[in-house]
Amino acid sequence: MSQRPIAAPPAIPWAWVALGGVVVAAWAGLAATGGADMSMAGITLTISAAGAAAATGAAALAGATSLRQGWGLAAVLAGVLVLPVCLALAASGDEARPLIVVLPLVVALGVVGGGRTRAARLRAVGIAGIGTALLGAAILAGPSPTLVARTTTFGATIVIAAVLLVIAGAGGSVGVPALKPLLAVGALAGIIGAAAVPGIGVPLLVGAAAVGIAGIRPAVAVALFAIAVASLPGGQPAASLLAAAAVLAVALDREWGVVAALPGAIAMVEVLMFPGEIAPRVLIGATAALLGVQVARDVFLRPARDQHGEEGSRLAVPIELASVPGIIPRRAERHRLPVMVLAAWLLVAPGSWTWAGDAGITHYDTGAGRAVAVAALVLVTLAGADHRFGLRRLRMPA
Amino acid sequence: MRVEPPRAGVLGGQPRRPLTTVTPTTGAPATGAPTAPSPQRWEVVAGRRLHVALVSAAAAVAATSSGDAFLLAALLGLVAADVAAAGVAALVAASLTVRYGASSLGAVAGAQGVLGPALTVGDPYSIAASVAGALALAFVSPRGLPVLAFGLAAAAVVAGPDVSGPASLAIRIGGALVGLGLTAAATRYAPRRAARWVAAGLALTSVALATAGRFIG
Repeated sequence: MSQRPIAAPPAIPWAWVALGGVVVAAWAGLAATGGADMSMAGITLTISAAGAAAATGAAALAGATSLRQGWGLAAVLAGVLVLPVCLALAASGDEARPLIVVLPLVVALGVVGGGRTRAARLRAVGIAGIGTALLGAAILAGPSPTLVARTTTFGATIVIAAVLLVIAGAGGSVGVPALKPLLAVGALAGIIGAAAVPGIGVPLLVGAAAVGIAGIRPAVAVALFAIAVASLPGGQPAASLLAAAAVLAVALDREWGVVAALPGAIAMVEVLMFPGEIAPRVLIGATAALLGVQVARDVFLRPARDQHGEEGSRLAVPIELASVPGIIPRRAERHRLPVMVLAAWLLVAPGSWTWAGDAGITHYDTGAGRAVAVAALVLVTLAGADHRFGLRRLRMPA
Repeated sequence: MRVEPPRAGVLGGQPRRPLTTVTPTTGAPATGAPTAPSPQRWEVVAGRRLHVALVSAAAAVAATSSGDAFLLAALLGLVAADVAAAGVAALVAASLTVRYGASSLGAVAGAQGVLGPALTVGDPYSIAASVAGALALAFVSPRGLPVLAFGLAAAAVVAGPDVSGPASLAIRIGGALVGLGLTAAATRYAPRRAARWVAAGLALTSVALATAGRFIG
């Protein structure tokens, strides 16, 4: 999977990069500060931290899409500017009707805007269309048009819709790119819905394991796993962190992006340690181990083939950097920089993602911060030492 | 005019080489058709620097018992560039989590600081679980620089109390020295293939013993 060739995307102007970056940063800032109340034209809107985080994910996914003309541009603009607002409102427990109006619009624009093949477009229309219709029906059928799981039936419908949206969104980067923001919608809806349906975790885990073994898209497996974890008591924070990792992995369009799921997985371990039923915890733990092995096999660094060959050094060490394809975004992919920043933030300081709730991993931040600091210090020291060595050698006579 | 060869070693030692940059080794064929496509020069250099940095980061986390056991497991796996090593380290982290009820290395160190080193305190199952975990880390370590990170991690499992006084500092330093020595010996004398299987078995045993210690002991 890590060997999948990455097509060279078209270069995107800095203005677009800046627009996406500003929108993502604004929503991320709102999420970090715990949300806000906004008054507009006499109407007061409450945006919760979780709602702002969901909006951040949707904007990041749309901003990381390299469609910048025609209907594709319209889809991206809707994904960056309109969809996050509607999603934030729905996630905050407010009005969810704008979301079910905007979702079909995004799907339609995205499919018209471009897809890899006609079959991919048809598949996307089918999956995303059914998911959107189910979500809309679940919201409109309730006593109030909000995205809050009240009954088991309501929750199950939302979860099914969420799974379809996750598949449509996570597959969007290879099928219909403009549908990526649906992943954020699906992840959010799934986490909300699964809390009302404890038994739905088992089929979701089976699905996540199947996707993980098939090795198609690790982000899909992580997203399904996140929804399954949300069905456990106290599993919402861990599920939110896992879903965030899936969103960022798809936005990065790199398989190794799922390593950002590490904090969520650790938070899940804390959840599994709560007293309660053993069977679901063992099932979740086993699935997590399976997914972890699969992901690790795909994204791990590989040892160099020849450590003691022609090239030698005092600290001959066995990592082949070339085994990580495209670890650094190319110039043409600078629109992914905001997502990279978010992924690094999640990987180093997940404890500061307070919108997810108390995940119980504040200790993680200390170790991760220390590791990053030490690694950076060593890298700088080594580069400086080698540079000095090079200068000294240049000054010496041959 | 006679010119002294550049840095040939004042006392006849080996020529000085840089830490991580690429230089041709003595005795190696100067030119020749490579049998496989070799990575670019900058990738070799960056890979070496990255590896040293990863070893340092993992060693820092293990030596200070900060962060999370699963984070340390991930770092050790990256250091070894080996999924099996990551799996063994993750099993040891699971064993610690079962024994102490949390995956925080700080909590593990704190408990050892208050109650005593894991090697000496607790029921027989728990003690055996810690020993098996430390041995698993020692056996799964690759040769060379990674011994530093794996050895310190093994020491943190069995004798890694929070440093709050001279006694705990002495235990910590002693444990680190023993852990490093044990890991170095294991990597030097144990056949690699067998050592990996032994490490996997020890890690699984550690989890089982920790579970037994929690529910039986």
